[in-house]
Amino acid sequence: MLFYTYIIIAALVASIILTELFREKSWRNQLAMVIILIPLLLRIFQIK
Amino acid sequence: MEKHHYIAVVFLLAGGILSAIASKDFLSMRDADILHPSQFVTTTGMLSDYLPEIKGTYGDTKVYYFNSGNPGATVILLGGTHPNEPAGFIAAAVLVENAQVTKGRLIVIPQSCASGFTATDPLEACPTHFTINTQSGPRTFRYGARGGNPLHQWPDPLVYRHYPSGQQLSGMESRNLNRSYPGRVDGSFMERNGFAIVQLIKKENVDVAFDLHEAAPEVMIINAIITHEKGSDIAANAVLNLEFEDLQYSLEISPKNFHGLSHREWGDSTMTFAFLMETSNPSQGRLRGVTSEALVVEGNDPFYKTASKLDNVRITYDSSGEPLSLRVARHLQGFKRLVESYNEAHPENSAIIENIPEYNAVVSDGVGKYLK
Amino acid sequence: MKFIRVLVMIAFGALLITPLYSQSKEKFEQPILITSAGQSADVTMAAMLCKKVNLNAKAVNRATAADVKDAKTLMIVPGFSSKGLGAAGISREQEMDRVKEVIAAAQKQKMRIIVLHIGGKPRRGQQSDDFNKLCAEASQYMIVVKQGNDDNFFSDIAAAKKIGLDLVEKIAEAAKPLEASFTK
Repeated sequence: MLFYTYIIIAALVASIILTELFREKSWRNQLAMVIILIPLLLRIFQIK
Repeated sequence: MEKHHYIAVVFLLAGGILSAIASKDFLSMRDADILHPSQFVTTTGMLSDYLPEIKGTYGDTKVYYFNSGNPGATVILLGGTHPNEPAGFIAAAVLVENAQVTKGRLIVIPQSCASGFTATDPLEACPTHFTINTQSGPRTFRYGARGGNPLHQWPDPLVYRHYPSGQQLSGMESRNLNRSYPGRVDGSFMERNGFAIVQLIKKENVDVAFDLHEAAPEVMIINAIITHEKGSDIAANAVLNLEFEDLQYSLEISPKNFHGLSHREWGDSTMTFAFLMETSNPSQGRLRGVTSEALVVEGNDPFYKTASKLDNVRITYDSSGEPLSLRVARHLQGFKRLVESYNEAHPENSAIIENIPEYNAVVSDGVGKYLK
Repeated sequence: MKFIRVLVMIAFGALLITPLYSQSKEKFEQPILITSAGQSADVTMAAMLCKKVNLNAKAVNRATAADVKDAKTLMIVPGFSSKGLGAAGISREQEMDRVKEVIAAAQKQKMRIIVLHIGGKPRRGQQSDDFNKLCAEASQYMIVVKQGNDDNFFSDIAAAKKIGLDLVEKIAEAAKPLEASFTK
């Protein structure tokens, strides 16, 4: 159960970052957001 | 679409490509290692044959049976209890690909903690694979983690309480197969893994059981044979015989109050004589430098070399290196002498296992010569 | 004259090839009580050595004064093991007291003591050496694997206290002097 709660939280955070990525106007911040997104994606798809 | 939207899409695509590259690397650890069983392997089964609850999970793993057809003792050997200790796994692979049993039976589980082979330990910068030059050319094997993959058992508790003793250990030990014996059917992923192995030992009436390990050079118990008190005479005799061949092993008796380990729990809960062997593996150590495939295979580390020359650092490390071939050779020779020692003590119920490469041959030819 | 010279040479040659461990000594008697001093697993190895040379020995890791009664020789295998002490559930101090008690009981009974130090370097160092010294000084004969005597720890005690000492390269080589030191 905790495992899936973790995955849901990771998916939620990833979707917020994704939304913010398109709102953000500074490319530096956009780059930082994508870097943060990578491990979250690997977690959500249970690759790592 | 505005300019920052285009930038977001480009960055997202770049992130996607990087994720795909990383994923390919991570997912490659789920591809099973391929062994080429000797013609004398009579049957191949799965651990889930003893506990159907683990079928289809990463707790399931291959089991190789050598049945001589002649009555005698049943011997089991486990490699890969800790997948970051490759000498155990490779020694088991050498047996699977070479051994011939003429009396009794031999059962080999080369990758006892299959889950641990699907990931490396976080923050350790370990390679995912290592390569050995074999008879058929280079063969690649996985270098895994000490414990099971957190994807298969998560989260770790703050404190791991061993069943049934109630002994408390650090949370991450809950994913350590060698702290999960005797296990339970309705327990955690790793407790089920341990339970299945104990069921196998019981159902097959295993007389002698081996669990092959490695340890960092700074660990106190190294180049050692650890046994349940039942097997102390057998082990002491083997240590003396190994000493005649200039192979030093220290003998340790399994502490009665340290639970969850194979030598303690197999010995307590089954009729088997349990032995665990350790070699010195610098790729696990805290003093090591770059953790490369070369370090795993060749066992040469400049920092351990320096440390071995200092009087105030107590390590078991030969300054010329601790190559995988030597570590596998130690395991195979120790296994051979312990089985012989068991046979001496139980002539009425012995096991004869042949075609195990000699220590000197494995060291000088390299272990690859004994892998197909 | 020539004949005498040859005889002398033969006698001298025989002296040279006589194994060092036979240069003793009043023989020890069986049965033997083997006990540890420090709770290392070396005591199991010692018991196996005795078994190999057919000596009547009983190993009791934590022997007490009461166990000494039935034996004629006390064999102490010194070497500290934190794992062994932990398994026995006793402290280093408790172990030291026990060893002193056993030695005192043996001495009271005029029993002779052999020390078998076979663990090499791992059974030396600060933690082990208190046990090593205590046992070595109480003994009448020691067999030591050379690696454990790199700094002449045991040879110095042997010289100072006039205790018989045989140094061997390997554990297995301890069997010969051990066998030779007992009456059959």
